[in-house]
Amino acid sequence: MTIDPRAAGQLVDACAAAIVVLGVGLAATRSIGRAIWLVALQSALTGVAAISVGLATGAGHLVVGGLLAVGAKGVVVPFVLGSILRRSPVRQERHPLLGPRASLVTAVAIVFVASAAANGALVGASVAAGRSLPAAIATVLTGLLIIMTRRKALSLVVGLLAFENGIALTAFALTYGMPLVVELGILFDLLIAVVVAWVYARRMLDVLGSTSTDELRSLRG
Amino acid sequence: MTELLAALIVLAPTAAGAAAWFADDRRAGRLAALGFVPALAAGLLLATRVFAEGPIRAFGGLVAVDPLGAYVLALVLAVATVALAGSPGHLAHERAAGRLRPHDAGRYYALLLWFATGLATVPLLDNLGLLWVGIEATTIVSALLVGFARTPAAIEAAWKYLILGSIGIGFALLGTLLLYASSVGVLGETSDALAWTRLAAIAPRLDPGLARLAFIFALAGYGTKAGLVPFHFWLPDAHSQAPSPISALLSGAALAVALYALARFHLITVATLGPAFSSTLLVAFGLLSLATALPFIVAQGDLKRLLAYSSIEHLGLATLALGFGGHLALLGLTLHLFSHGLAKSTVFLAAGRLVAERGSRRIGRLGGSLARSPSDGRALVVAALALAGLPPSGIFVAEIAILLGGVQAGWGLAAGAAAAILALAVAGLLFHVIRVSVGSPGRPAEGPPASRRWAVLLGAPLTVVVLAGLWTPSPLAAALDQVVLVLGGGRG
Repeated sequence: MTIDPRAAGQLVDACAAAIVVLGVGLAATRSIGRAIWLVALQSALTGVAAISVGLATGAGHLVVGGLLAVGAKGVVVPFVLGSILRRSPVRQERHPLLGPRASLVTAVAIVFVASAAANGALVGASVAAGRSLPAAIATVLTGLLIIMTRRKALSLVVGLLAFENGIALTAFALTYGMPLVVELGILFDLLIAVVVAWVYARRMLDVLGSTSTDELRSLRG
Repeated sequence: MTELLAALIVLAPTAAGAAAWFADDRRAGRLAALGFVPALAAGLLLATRVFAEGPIRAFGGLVAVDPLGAYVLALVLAVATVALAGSPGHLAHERAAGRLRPHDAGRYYALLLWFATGLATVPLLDNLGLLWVGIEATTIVSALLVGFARTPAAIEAAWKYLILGSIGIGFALLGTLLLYASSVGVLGETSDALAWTRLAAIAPRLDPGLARLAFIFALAGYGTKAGLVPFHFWLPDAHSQAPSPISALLSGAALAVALYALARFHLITVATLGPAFSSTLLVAFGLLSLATALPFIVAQGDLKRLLAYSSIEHLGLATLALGFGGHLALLGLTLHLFSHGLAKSTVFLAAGRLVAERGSRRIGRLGGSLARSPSDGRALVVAALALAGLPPSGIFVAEIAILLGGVQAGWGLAAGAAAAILALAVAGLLFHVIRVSVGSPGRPAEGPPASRRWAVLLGAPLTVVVLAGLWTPSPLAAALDQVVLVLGGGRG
């Protein structure tokens, strides 16, 4: 099965745009449950972008990597995170360091800065960088914003996943993805990282009675 | 033959780990040893072959080992031997204190083996993408070990390690990606475009802008794993909360493996952009790490955190040496990483036992350790003096070589600053050593007394560290020279 390269290009652009919008949505939501599904959708779209280019160019490894990404990050990961959320008494990010409105404004500002920076950074570079690079940089930075301003363990994992989606999109924008064996390794690492995060979130619930990282402030000096 | 050796290093301990996970607690230790010993033998044989016959390749270019890789492999296996040998004693103490749940011992051995195997696999891989995968995998496995005690403090340390480590290593992935982007133009879209053996050869043709950006991200990423300031915030927590044999592996081997990854990027960057750019960054971050660790060493009240900050200091010094370049500083670096790995892993085992016996990690409450637990106390004193850089020890010789090498290479000011910091750190460490070793021993020891095997376990690596300061056998010196040749940008 192949698709027309122009249609694939438009599909990739649409995916990149949607990934950015989902990132802004992640920054603006307080509900952890909603954040899990937003980031899952974002992950799935990075996979869809890879699949569509793979089908257009006949690069089989992109299709395989994209399908696995959709399955692992779009389906398995949100179910794992959802199962912690169901046990946790806290479903909302109550007191983030930046409120939803301030986060929304910051995230939008990040998108503009990223577009400007991406256009500036690649002047003179030898690669034919794709149009999705600004979206990729914006997603990386939005992920970091979420990690820095949230306090609940699950929100941090969500931020980490958004950060990782940004890196995946960067890979795609710069080189149409890494070699398949490397992509598989990265995906495998991501899956076990989420499982380990799950283990620790459960231990936090058992030992500390909450998944708020505010409880984790004893080690100093 | 090479294929068989490489496969043994990776597969034997991995399989033994899987078996230990499901085995009952009494058999787990023996299973672990059964899986580790073949890997150890194969690794040492492989390293010897590399030093005797030159770099080797196997599995269609997936595996490539040059003298630098062989050196790191030997270092990891040596430290892992100490950590594994120290584990039964650690677990016996935990069991006696009632802190061990059913199946904990099996899982501990399984994770320890997988962690060590991951570290040993990294220097075998001829692909910077897979090298990243390997280092990230060791981070995740070791995160499970850091929080093994399930106390609130251990969970906090493990969580910080997992999150900060993942962000850091994410930057290393960006760096890898940028390097790949700079090389696909030359090599095409194959996994060869990430092979360091190929990249070194075509480095002058890489895109300089992308290569510069790639090194910056790799420095932030692998710098996080190597505990370089300002990416080090996870390290004192993780290294002090982990079970002691795991602290030994983290401090002695995992930091060196991260520095190895950074060195591969540094070599490629030097070949692309000339030495000025990445060397200056390495010297700057090395000095910053040394300077930042100093006050935390001098004013430290917690024994295991003291050792963790000492690791930041020593990795700062090693990074500095890598930045200095030149034959003498690089020779110092090779001697330094090995001596530090052995001394630090041993001192973590001794400190772990002291802390478990006394039920406190406060340096002020550990007085009289020489009288109360002679084998642990003696090991602690010898290792701490060696780590302070006092003669005779490999670390002393290494530090002198690094500082003189820095002056030779034209980094006089940086070498002078480093010398001043190291001298102040000696004073800080000596003060803590005196507080721990002499003084009133307090109540009698709890738990089983140290066995003769334990005393040998602590004594053997320290003997090597001390001997390394007096005499280097000529085959070993020749091997170190080969490593230096690779680190200096030669093909080995």
